[in-house]
Amino acid sequence: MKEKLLLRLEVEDFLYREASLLDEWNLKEWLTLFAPETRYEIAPTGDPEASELDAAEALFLVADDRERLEQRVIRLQKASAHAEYPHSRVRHIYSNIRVLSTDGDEIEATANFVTFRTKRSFTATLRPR
Amino acid sequence: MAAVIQPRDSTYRSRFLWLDRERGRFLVHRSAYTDPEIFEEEKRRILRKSWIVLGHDCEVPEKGDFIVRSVIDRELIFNRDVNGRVNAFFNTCRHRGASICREPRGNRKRFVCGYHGWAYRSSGELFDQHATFGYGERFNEGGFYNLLQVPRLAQRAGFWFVCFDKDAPPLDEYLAGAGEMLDSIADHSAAGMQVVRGCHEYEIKGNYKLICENSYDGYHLDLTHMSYVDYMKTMVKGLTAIDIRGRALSLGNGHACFELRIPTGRPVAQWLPVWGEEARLEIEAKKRELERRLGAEKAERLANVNRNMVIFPNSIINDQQTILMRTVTPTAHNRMIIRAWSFGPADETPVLRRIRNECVLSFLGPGGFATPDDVEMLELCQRGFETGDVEWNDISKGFHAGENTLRDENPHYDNELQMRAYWYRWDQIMSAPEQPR
Repeated sequence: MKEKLLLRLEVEDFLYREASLLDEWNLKEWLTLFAPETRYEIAPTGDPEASELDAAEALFLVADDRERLEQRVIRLQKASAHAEYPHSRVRHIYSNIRVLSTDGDEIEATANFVTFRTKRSFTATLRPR
Repeated sequence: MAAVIQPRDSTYRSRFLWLDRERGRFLVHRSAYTDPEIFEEEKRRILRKSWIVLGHDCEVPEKGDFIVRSVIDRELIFNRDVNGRVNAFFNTCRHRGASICREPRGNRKRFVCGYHGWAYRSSGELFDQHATFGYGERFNEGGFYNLLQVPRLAQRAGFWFVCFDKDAPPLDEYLAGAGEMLDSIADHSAAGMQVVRGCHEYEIKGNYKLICENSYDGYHLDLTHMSYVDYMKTMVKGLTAIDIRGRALSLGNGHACFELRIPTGRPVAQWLPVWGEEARLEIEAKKRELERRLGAEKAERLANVNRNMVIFPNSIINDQQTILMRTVTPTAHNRMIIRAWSFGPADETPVLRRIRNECVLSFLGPGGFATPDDVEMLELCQRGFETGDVEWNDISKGFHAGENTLRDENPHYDNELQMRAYWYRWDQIMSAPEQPR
């Protein structure tokens, strides 16, 4: 039980650090959290079977490998990435963090999140649907 | 709609347009984007009287398939009934009004209201009221209580359009030259089209005409999308400059498009080295198939030309990295919701389908490398309109004294003929004396 708790705290720490790097717009360091074989995906919103879909077959919002994730970071640091220039204020909130399984060094974890993005005095709430 | 006469005078002035041919000026009054009353007038005079795209035939392939989809401020059930007929019903029970369909899509032979149990066949016919007494034999005489169909529903090249005005001209007449452009989309495959699962949906804090203008604006590409071009140069090794050639076309009735020859790849059928050898073989095979079926000249165009088209007033159908259908739902004078679907050949190989999806999401949608910058620019426009006393917008680029925006061609893709064609039509309707209702 104690080990399980400690593991979850470790996962929480990792996620909180990830959120904090995003909130600070420290994207260069954020990128170092991702392994070379990373897949960073946002499945179609509003689809009840979203978690079972494959980006090769369905229209995702984001389906990055490590290379495109890096290109995304490069883009978001440019003034020509108009949508985020100047950078909006963001706050990522993680909750309901759970460890589902472990296999050697691999941990399968899940969390809920909500992101607040403030731009020109307007705050939008972004969340998975 | 009345025949369109284009103002030929050297100056023309209406509530919304100011043309000064001698000075080469074409101006649009910003109240067309900012005034809530004009937006209401526009809904009444334009949006409710025009043909607007609802979806593609391939989205409801089987009998019973249905999709709930909004057009302007009406929620519709788009379905194929058990007889194989395509319908568009208002999503409301004829009894007490509850929405009949609560799921966004599915397959149903009948629609049953959850409130009192009124039940309709997929053809819209009311066949049961969940009541043993209280209604006479003649209650539904003449189909009085059947689900209400939109006044007009028709298709061109598989694209279904609706119109809320029963007196509107036939779809083909309305589409004018845009109809042939839709036909050429159907040429992508002899096997027909297939919708890719998933939809890009996002809200923009701007007037709906801003996204129409933006969708076929060649002038903004290199600056607004500079960071996307940088990305393409990195991904497509050896690409040092992107050579863009193209033209703008006015297609009649306010419809227009611009066509681009741009070496950024097309699953049908322009290969990029970054896609690899397997994709090269498949794209070459696809190109040969096009040549056999359509002839060399047509095949070459289909393989290499991107086309962005706005069907007046708010249907956007692009033939670019994919076949993209965008619906634009204005929710206020300064708000809109965009929904976009991607289509490809029904017989596309898994390799090319993967490439299609990759191309779409790297450019388009809320997570793309380009769309968010468009959204930003449109929101800045709306903001700019509302913060100043500046009255007029300019869309003069390439405007010359003899221009005929009804059916014209401009040798430069980055001129603004497209938008002038749109605004001519818009002004013609809005400035005409209103028929008594």
